Amino acid sequence: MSDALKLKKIDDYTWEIPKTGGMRVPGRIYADETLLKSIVRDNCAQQIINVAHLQGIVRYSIAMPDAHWGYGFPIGGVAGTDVSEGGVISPGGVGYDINCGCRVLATSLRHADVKDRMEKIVNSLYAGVPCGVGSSGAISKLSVGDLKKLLRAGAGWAVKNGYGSGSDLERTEEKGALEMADPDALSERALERGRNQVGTLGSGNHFLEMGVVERVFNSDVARAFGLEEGQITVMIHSGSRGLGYQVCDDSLKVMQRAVEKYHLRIPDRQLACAPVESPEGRRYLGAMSAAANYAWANRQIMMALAERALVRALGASPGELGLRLVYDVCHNIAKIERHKVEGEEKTLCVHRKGATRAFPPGHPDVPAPYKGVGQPVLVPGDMGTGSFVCVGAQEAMDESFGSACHGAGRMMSRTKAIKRSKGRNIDRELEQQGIVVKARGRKTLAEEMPEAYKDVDAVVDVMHAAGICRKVVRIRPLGVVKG
Amino acid sequence: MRKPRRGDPGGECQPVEHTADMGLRCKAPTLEGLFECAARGMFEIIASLDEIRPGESVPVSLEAANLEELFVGWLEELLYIWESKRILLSKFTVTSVEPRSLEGEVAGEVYDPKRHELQSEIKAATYHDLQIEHKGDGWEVQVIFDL
Repeated sequence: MSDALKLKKIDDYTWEIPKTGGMRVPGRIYADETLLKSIVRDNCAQQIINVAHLQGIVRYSIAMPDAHWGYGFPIGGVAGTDVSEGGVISPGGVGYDINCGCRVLATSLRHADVKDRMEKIVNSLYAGVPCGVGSSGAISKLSVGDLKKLLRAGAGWAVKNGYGSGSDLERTEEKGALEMADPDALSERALERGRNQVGTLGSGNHFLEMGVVERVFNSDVARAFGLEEGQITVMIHSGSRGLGYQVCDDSLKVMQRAVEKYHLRIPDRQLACAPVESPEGRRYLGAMSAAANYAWANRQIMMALAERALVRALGASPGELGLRLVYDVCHNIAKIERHKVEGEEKTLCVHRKGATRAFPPGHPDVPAPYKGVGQPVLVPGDMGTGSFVCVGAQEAMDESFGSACHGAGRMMSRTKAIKRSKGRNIDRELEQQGIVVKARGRKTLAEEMPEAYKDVDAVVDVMHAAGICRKVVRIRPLGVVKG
Repeated sequence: MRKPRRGDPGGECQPVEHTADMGLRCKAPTLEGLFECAARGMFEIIASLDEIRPGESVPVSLEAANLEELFVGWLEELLYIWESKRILLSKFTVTSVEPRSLEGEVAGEVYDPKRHELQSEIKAATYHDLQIEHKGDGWEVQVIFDL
């Protein structure tokens, strides 16, 4: 692939894969020269090209600087399809973990308040938030009726049932619930898988992390987000668990038929899709939205469980802890949004597969407290390096359908990471860097070792330099819970 | 991957490198063996099979539109048994595979955190680059899992 691939340099951070064969639009990669090499070396470039074949796709098939080989779409892929021109929606452009996402919480704690107590804090978080393969039982098993209420109301259901407060909803993308949710579009299996897993972290790259704001790049925006140097933060990364996986799997079967029915041409079966304005497309949107709402409820409940765990560990009152939501973003989703294409306002189905919404100041969907500065863009890095809070910019609306990167992005396979970690003690290595880690499985720790990821600073620098989102603060990890 | 033992069907599975996820390339003399082999490979990613006693059996009967969907459906069915019944599976018997239907039985035991060490969560078996091929005197498949 890489030998035959011809790339056109647009500027230092933007590259184009020219339109060839059945591509309907060119590919566009945001990367510096080093990141570009890792993207091209991977099968990722072929996947950018494959996505460019989708019916109704406009402008470009985009890859963010954290992009890497996925299945169907690349991870770090963004594509907008024109709904009125038969544009398609593809479950492969969302992924199995629908609304996998991230939330950042601010606290009233300073580094000095926690630095000698990290072991106790991490143990308490580990005990208080169920994690690991197939984790369950965070709250009582839900009846199907209650689960359907949750699927309609999303994070609002969690707040109504005593997990967090109403002000959290304002600081959640879509206020924590997509209105298009149709719980009746879910199979019995999807519902069954969802009854016992809400409020659980899961495993793999999901985590719960305590960190400290170590650097402020933009003090005005940081102030608007309620963040300052030396402040302790909590970050939660998780998604829609088994319910979301089942929705994706069920929908892919339906979409395979839809590809034949609507005579769609796709280069990879995992890109199976249907026009947004078709019964199959609408049904998937309804089911996907319900799964997205499940993920928001999941993270909202975990936030409340984390607060209880921190109160226990620190012997502080909730008031003293001062835990509050900065923002919650989804990074595996398809959204119906308005964007300008060649100067004309269009209704697009924007797929973000491992990409974060990054709306600029003044956009109607940016919550009121942040309207003047823009939407927080949360970019978690690996567990040993750091994470960023950035802010969306107008260039994102102009160039990338209001989207930015979602993390550091893997560059090493799990098998290679395990080989590389042989004879090493990853948790001890992190401890020497001042990071306390507790993981359900040792294998997860090896697979998720910092070297397995790209340099998050380089990834964010590309987004910053390209003007897509701007750096606000950098957070250094202090304690990590992994599934 | 553990080494093959006596009693294993005649297939073999090798891990496939994938940046984010994990894949398997499996070979077997028969289609039935191929399906069994892939199932075993998948559960070896989830947990160590040595510790799982195949005492509890679950019959599996599936229909699908074509062979690829049948293959993904089979693996998804086993993931569903694991997640919904908490049964870790270690024995896989496929008695027949027609292009659109499958009959078989799987066996394992309910997850016991004291004895079983879980390794990875598999979210799904994907269709990405999935191809089931009849090569020479056997069958081959490559499948990528979402982890």
